[in-house]
Amino acid sequence: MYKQGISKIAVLGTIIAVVVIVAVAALITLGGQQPAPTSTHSPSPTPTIQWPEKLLGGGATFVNPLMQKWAYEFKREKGLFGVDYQSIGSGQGIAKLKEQAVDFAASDAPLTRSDWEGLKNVRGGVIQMPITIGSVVAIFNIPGLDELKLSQEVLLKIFDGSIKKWNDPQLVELNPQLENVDKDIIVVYRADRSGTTFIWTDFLEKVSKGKFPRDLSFKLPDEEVEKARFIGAKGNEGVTEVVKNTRYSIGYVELSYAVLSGLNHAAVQNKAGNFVKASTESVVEAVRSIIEHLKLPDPLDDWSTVSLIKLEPPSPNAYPIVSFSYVMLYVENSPEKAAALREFLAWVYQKGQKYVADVPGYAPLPDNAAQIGLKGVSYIRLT
Amino acid sequence: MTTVRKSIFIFLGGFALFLALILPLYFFGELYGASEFFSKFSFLDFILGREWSLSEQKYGALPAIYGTLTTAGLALLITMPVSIAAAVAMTELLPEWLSEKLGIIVDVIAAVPSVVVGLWGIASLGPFLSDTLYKFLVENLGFIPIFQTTTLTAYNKLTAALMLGYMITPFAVSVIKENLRLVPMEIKEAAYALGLTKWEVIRITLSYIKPGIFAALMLALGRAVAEAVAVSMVIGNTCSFSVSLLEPACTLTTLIINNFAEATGIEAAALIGLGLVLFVISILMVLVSRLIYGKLLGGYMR
Repeated sequence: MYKQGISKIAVLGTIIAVVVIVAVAALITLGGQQPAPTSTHSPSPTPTIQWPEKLLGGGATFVNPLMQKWAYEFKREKGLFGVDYQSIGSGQGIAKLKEQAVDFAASDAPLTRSDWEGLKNVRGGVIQMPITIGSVVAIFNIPGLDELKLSQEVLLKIFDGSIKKWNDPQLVELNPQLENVDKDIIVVYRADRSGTTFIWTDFLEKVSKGKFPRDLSFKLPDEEVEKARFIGAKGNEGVTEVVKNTRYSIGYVELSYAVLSGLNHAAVQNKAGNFVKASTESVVEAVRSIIEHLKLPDPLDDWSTVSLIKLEPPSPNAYPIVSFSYVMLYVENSPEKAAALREFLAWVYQKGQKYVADVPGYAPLPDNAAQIGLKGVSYIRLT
Repeated sequence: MTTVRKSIFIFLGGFALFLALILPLYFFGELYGASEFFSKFSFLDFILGREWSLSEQKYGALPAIYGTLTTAGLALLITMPVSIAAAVAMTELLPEWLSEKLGIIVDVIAAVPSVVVGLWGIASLGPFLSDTLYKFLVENLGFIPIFQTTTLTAYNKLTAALMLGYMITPFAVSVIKENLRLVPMEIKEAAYALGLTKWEVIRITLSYIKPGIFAALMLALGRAVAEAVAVSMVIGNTCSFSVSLLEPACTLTTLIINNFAEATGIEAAALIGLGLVLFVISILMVLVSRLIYGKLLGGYMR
C-alpha cells in the first residue's frame, strides 16, 4: 500500500517535472526572440511624438565604450528614452539585425554583398553608415626600445612569419638599434574572431596583394614549426596583457587599448612615404583626406568593397591602418522607433561628436563623413 | 502531515528525474547540433586532424584533445602528492589552531574566481616560469620531445597545467581532509597500541581511506578538464598539434569559449562536435573511475 503510494507520487512528480521543464524551456526560447518591449504610454515632453521606452542596439565590441558614453549623455541631455547597446560582437550584431531582434546594429565590417542583396527587399533595405573610425596599431615589447619604424612590407612579413628575428636585415635597415637584438619575434594575435583582426588582415591583404586572407580570424603560417612563435590571446585586453608580459613580442590592438596600456606602438609608413604613429590627429587626417579625394557610396548602396585601407589615405600625415565602424538599420521602422532612431542618430552625428574626445583612443568623424551619416538618418521611414 | 510529506516526495522525485532526463537530452542535443558538421566531414578526420584553423576551414580536434588530456593529467599529477600531504599535515601533524587557519586559506583559494587566477597566470606565473623552470628544461632536457621548442614563451600547456594544479588542489584537500576525519578512532588507537610509529599509523589511515582519496582526485580532475576561462588566458591558443608541452596550444574548452560567440554555420557545428568529444571523455572518465572505485572499495571490504 505504502509502496504503491510512493510509485504514484513518483509518476506524478515526473509529470510535473516534465511540464515544468517544457514550460521553462518554452519561456526561455520565446522570451529570447521577443523584440524590445515598447511602452505605449511612456511620459514624453512633446505631446505629439510617442517615444519608445528604449532603443535596442547590439554588435561590435569596438564601439561599445563610445556607445555607452553616447547613450548616457543622450539620456542625460534629452531624457526622452534610453539606448540599450549590447556588446556582442560584429558577427552577432549582424545576425540580430537579420533576425530583426535589434533596432540597430554596429559592425566593424560592412555587410557582405550577399547579405546586402538578401536584405534589399526587407523593410525597405538596410542603411549602412560610418559611426566612428577605428585604427589598429602594432604594439611591441622590446626592452630599451621606444620607437619602431615599420614599412608596410616588413609589417606583413612579420605577421605572415617570413621575418623571424628582430635583427633581420630588413628590420635593421629601418631601425639600426635592432642590430644586436638576436631574438625571435613573438607574434601575438587575436584567438577569437574580431573586427580588430578584420581591419588588420584587410591591411595585410592589401600589402600582400591578396595572398593574406582578410577575415575575422587570423591565419597562422603554414609550417608547423613556425607556430611556436605565434601566441593567441582573447580580446584586445588579452593581447595587450600578453605583449606586456612577453619580451620581444609584437601584437595588434585597437588604438584605444594601446593608449590605455601605455605600451609603445610602431610608426607605419604611409602612401606618401612618411613613418606615422597612430594618434587621434593622424587617424582623422587619414579619413578626411580619403573622403576629400574619393567618393564613398550612398548609405543605401553596397559598402562591402569599401576599405579605407585599400583606398590608401593620400595625406602625408595620415596613419594608414584605419577603418570605419558602421551602424546598420532598416529603412522602415514603426512610427515610434523611426522617430527615436532619427532623434538619437542625428544627435550622435552632431552634438554627440563632441563627447568622442572624452573616450580615449576614439576619433571624431571628420565633417564630410558625418554628412554621410546625416544623409543615412534622412532615409529612415515609417512603416 | 501526510500531504506535506507527499509534496516533498513529489519534489524530490521530480528533481531526480529531471537530472536523469537532462543527460540524454544534452547528448542528443549536441549530436543534433553537430550533425551538420559530420554530414560533411568524417568523424575520424575530425578527431585525428592536426590543426584547427578557421581561415583555412580546417577542423582537427587532435590538438585540443591532446591539450585537454595533457593539461588535466599533469594537473592531477601535481595535485595528487600535494593534496594528500596537505590533508595529512592538517589533520594529523599540525597543531589545531594552525591547521584551522590553513583550512580557511585553502577554502579561500578554492573560492577565487578563475578569471583572477588566469590574470595571475598571464602576468606573474607564466613570465616567472619561462625565465626559470622552462629555460632550465629547454637547456638541459631539450632532447626529450615534450620539452622541445624553437621559441620559448610563457604561454603553453605546462603553464596551464601548473596553474590548473594550483586551482584544483583545494578541492582535493577538502575532501581528503573530511575522509581522514572519518577514520574511526579505534583503528588509530589499535595501531598505536601495537607500538607503531606515527608514520606507520598515517600509512594505515591513508590506505583505509583509499577510495575517498580516489574520489577526491576524480573530483579535482573533473574540474581541471572543465576549466576554460583561466586556461584560455595562459595556454597560447595556437591550435596546431605539437607534442611539446612548451609550445602554445589549445584545449577543447578554450577552443569553444574563444570561438562560439561569433561562430555560425559549419564552424558552430564543429564546435558543438568538440562539446560532444568533451562529453564522451567525461563519461568515460566517470565510468573508469567508477570501476576503479568499486575495486578499491571491494579490496577494503575483503
